[in-house]
Amino acid sequence: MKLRQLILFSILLLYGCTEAFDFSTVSTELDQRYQNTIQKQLAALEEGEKNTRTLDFPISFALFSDTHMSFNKLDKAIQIVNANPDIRFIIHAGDIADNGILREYILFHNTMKGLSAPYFTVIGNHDYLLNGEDIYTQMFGPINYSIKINGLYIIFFDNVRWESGQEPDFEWLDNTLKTIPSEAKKLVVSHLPPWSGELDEPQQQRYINAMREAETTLSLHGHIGKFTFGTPYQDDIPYLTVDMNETDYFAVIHIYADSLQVEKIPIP
Amino acid sequence: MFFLALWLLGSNSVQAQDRKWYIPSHAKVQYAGITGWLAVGPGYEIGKKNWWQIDALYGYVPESIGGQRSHHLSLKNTFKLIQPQLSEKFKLFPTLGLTTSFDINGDADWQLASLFYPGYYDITNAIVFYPFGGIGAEYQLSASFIDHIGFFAEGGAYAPHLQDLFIGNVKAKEIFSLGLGINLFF
Repeated sequence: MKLRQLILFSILLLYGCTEAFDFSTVSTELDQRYQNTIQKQLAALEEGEKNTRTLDFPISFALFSDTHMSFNKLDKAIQIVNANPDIRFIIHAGDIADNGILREYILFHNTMKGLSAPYFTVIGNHDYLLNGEDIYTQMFGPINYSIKINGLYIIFFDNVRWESGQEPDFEWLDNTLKTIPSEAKKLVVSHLPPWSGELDEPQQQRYINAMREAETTLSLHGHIGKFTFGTPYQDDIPYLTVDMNETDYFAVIHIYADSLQVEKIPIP
Repeated sequence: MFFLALWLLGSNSVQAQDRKWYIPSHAKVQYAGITGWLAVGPGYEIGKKNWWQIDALYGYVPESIGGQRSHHLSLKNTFKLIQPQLSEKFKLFPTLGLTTSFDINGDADWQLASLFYPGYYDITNAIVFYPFGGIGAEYQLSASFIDHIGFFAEGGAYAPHLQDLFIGNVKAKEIFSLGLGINLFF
């Protein structure tokens, strides 16, 4: 190969790369096109649902979690979701990144652009590594937030303790749940299920009690490397966990007026 | 700084054949490639036809580029696999290598692998391994101070991302990035 051909080949090869230059693993400079994703997703959702002012049962959505660097798997899950027009939105229960590196967040963002429905995220423990929290808040918005999709309330609650170096803001969770009518359908999303080992005993109990008192429709999580669904606390509150890094499954949830159905969807 | 001082002390008069072992053979300036926005430092060449190049680099990322100001210390090993002489003064060669970068900003956690409980995290994130491959070129100069000048362009990836590539989690174009630079040989 001649020198000129070699240089041309190298330029073309690198032009095709997602991000041509990496300066450091601790960089946090995020281009504006990647910022405020939750706001943009909400706008897209409102646009899509503007003719539906009340809950229209069943309401169906997908739960992804712990995608880490499994972008090929995430891509396949997106194709499955896109083929199902009943799915109105997607929730990601955290561990968007693997090492909290800017490139990982950008890869996630670019991959999720392939979704035909809006998506909403909660922060996971891996998302906190290095300067991940800074990147996460730029890309998505506040760590704790809630949204209302017509009559359905969804609360995104950060309960990561060790990597964040701070305790979960249970006061915020309690206050937010209090603002929701008791009869309303409500979902709570946090990365760690109460039994994961990271929350101490009083915190576990506080979370379980909060779900119970608010009569939460479904508590959604990731982190534990398993697909699980059940009512583990001798009450009627169902808990669902998904982990797409350790398993080849995600979930599709259908909420009806008086019940809910969880489908375990295999990723080929 | 120690290496830079050695190079400054030794670079005025010594020729390759009578250079003391501790006097660097060249200075490197690198753009990107995980060593910082811009990195500089002295280097040594070892072995037959100087096939093994070792550089100690200090890198800097300004806030306007990285979102926060950061400093980096890296050790870079570059291996010149073959070195065809294309003309009397010019040679072009493929390279392979490994950059090891160390956290000196306090953003990473040296104890990460032993925090919480064993196996929760595999390895510290304070040391970054960045394997790379690329091309290099060297051109002999007539100038007395600079004996020859080298250019390089390298494509590399963060080592854990390479592991993800091998197990089919990601595509190559998603993880590779570029490093560019020059070497000034004295």
